[in-house]
Amino acid sequence: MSGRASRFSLAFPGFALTPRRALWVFVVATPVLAAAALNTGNNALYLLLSLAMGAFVASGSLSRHTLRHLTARLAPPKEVFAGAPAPVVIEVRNSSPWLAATGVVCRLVGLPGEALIPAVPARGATTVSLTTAFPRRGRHQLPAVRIEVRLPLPFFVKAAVVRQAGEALVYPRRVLGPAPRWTTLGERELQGLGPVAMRGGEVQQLREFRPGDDRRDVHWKQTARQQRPIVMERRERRRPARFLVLDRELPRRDDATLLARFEDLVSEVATAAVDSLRRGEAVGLVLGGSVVPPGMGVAHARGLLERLALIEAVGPGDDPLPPLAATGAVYRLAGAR
Amino acid sequence: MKGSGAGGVSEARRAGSGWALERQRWLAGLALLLSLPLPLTGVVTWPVAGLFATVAVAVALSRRPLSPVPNWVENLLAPLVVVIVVMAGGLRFGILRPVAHLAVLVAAVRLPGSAQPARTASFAALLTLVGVAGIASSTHVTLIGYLPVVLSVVVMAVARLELLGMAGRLGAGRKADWPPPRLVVASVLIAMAVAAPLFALLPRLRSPFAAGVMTGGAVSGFRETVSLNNIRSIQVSRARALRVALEEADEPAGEWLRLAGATSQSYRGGLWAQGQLGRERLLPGAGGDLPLGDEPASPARLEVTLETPSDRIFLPPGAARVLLAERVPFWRDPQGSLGATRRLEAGFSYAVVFDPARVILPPPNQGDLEVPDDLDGLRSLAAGVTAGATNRTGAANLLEEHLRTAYDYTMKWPLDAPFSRDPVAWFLFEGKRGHCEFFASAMVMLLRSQDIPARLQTGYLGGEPDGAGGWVVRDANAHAWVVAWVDEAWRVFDPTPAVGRPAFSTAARLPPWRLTWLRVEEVWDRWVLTFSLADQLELLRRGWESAAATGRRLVVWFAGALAGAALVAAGVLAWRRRAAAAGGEGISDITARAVDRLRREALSRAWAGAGATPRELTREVARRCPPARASAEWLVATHEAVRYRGLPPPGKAEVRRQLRATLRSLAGVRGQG
Repeated sequence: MSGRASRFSLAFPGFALTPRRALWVFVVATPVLAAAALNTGNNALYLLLSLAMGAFVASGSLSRHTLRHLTARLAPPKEVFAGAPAPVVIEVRNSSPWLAATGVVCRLVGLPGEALIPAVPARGATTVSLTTAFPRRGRHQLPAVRIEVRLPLPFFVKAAVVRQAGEALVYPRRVLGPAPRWTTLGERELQGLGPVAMRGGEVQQLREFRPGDDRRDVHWKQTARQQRPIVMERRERRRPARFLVLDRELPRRDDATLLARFEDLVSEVATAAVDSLRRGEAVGLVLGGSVVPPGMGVAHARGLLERLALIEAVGPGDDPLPPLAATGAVYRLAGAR
Repeated sequence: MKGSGAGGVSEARRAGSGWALERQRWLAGLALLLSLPLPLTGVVTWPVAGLFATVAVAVALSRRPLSPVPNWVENLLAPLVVVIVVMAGGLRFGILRPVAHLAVLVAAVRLPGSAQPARTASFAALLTLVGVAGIASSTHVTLIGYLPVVLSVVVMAVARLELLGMAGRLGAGRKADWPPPRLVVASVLIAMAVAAPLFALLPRLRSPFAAGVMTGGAVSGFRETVSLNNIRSIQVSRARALRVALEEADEPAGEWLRLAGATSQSYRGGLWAQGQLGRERLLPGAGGDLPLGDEPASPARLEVTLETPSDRIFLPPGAARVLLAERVPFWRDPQGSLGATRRLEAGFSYAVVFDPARVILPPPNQGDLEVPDDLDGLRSLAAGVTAGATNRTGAANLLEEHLRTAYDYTMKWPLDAPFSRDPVAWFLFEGKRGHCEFFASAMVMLLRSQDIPARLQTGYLGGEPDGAGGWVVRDANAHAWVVAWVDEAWRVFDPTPAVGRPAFSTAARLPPWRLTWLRVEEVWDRWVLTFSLADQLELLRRGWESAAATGRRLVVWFAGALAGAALVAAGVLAWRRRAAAAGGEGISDITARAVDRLRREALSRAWAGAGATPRELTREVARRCPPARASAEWLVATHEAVRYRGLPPPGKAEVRRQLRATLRSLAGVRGQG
């Protein structure tokens, strides 16, 4: 998850110098001072000129030292929606044995957000949080962190870009949309959804745990007694099964307008799902041919959002909806069918 | 919410006001520090410097950020500033003095309100000008301590102001930190370490400049042409002129350290001029021996070394013989002045055998009795003074005594001798004050008015121990005196009052701390103040010679050092790479690196943008290169499984195999868009 600024100093990319006004003042003033010294032979002016150039070198070498010993590590947010403010935490570590880094600015490359760290002690670390926003849903590589220092003399903004390994999953954008459009699936379809959708009712029998079983049905006493996971199989119970159905099929996949509208649909579905779950309503999701049974809770919400974050549009006929779902209320682009 | 928002705004305002106040205090403090040398060197008069200091202290002590002076007040003050600059001398004394006055006065007007961001830059430029003027006019050794102090305060101030600005922009009301003292100290130390060789290497195209007190104008060293109306402040310069060693005495007796550089006979309109008529050429003998007069009965001997380039050599009035290490042709004029036919560089040395009891000069002629016609009252004054004298020596003694007692010595500058009057006449009858050249010139004229042949001699008098058994003669030891023909011989008279005669201090009388300080000043004068192109060439020559002497051994050492440095650098590089690899990604990141490699490949072909998600990337790869589809999808799916489902990472070999398969497939479609 972390990278060291010094790696960049070896090959130099990632290290940037941005001139500031003080540099231009220095660039103009130094030749004037040099001309005055040359023209008069005044050694006091030569001293001043040498010291000014020495100060320039000192500023560069010390800021380079500071930058070389700084490491940034970005902790991505646990839950982030596209376009929404997302707090991220950056830990900046200073490995310099003797010099504290003062006035360090951290920015995210390609994303908004910047934060000032007043001081990072020598051989110490400081964390800072800043608010950013990811523009699009999906799996994004974590943004690189640009560390900037200006001291001791602000001729340049000296910066190192520290790349961050790892990715962040960005959920779809949340929008203010109309009330959700529900689809209810029939009994036949519900039977095919597996035991997770059928949770509830009286216990019919105990059996060994199988992949896909709801962990809440684990019978802990029997599990402890038999030293193997045992679950309770319950009698089927009809439950309200409400689904949000999203049609992934687009007439053309190379049309930017259609893709943008598809994004809007995904955002609307995600918003409806989250709102319903927050109201305590069980929600299922039909994305093309795949069906997520209705459920509740944080884990279920995360699962729905992950699927919606990663869903992609497909061409006509590539991923049709289940027959029954296709007849209900479907989130679909107008004119797609 | 409303209440807390208003509270936040007012807190931010308070913080902003606090930052502005601190900025104002830093600027006022810097102004005080940078203007410190100006009154001490005399480039800015004390009243102006005092006014500036008062404004700076008032601004520094203010409890709120001050507003700028209104424009109409500035407009009103502008003529006053000009008047003060003119009253302080205007352009009469060179450019530095009026510029320094102007900068200080404008800075005083603009200091209030300088903390406003829009005005800080222009005020900083003014302060820079003030600081440069102060440093440029300083020749004292304390400059070497002043400069690091200034640099450390500037670094501290600039860093602090930068942090304040950053806290204002990004800190969200957070308190700004202070720059660490180590950063400031390290900055100063590195700057000085870099500055020292730079100072030695920066090219010198002109002779070293020593700034004169009061004007900041150049002190040019010894001048044989004495211009009374235009004398500069050479007598307060600490620049080294000569180094003198006595061969047979620890301390110079009486007149031993009176060294003449020129003897002048012709005086016209305030100027002692030297003509070139009648000059004879002298070539030293085979041993560098240059005889000037009869061998003295009880000779003394001096070793003299020039510390600044000159076309003159400086000799005691009784010099009988000069022993030169180098056979340089000389000329001698009818008045006895001795000069080289080429410029003698610093370091040129010679020995002089002389008679301390005599003055050896060509005998007098008619020119030694010439008196300008416009010196009215000269004869009556001289006659009145010498009324009681029975012979020429007595008359000369009376005139010397009269000038010493009835006239005041002053180095206060400028002397207000009007250009319309002859300076000697002005000195004798109106001003009655002046420096040594006035006294000596007046005595020459008074002696001549009484038919006593006399000449003006200029050179150096006195000196101070150099701590190594020798004596240092500085520009401040420049002096003028009189040689008069009395009792059938030339004799030295010095009409300048004792307070104006350069003295020589003796080592025996100096406390140890003073001797140490003298050595410090010695180093300062020798290696900083008068450091010149000749010194640079000398350093280069010495370096070259030592390199040549060391020769092969040096080459071996150099090669060894180079190889060692390369080994160390390679080791450090390897260690850093290993540390980076060890401290960076773990085994679980192998799939991330593989996907990253795939991303770079797609980016290089412009198949995907930098922000493409891995799935978008895979889709594009699959679309443009179907054979790579399976392996690319495996990579992405595996990566997602590891990253998001917490599954264990696959083996490195498998990931590499899939990556290689993908890249091999992609290589087949290189160049196809």
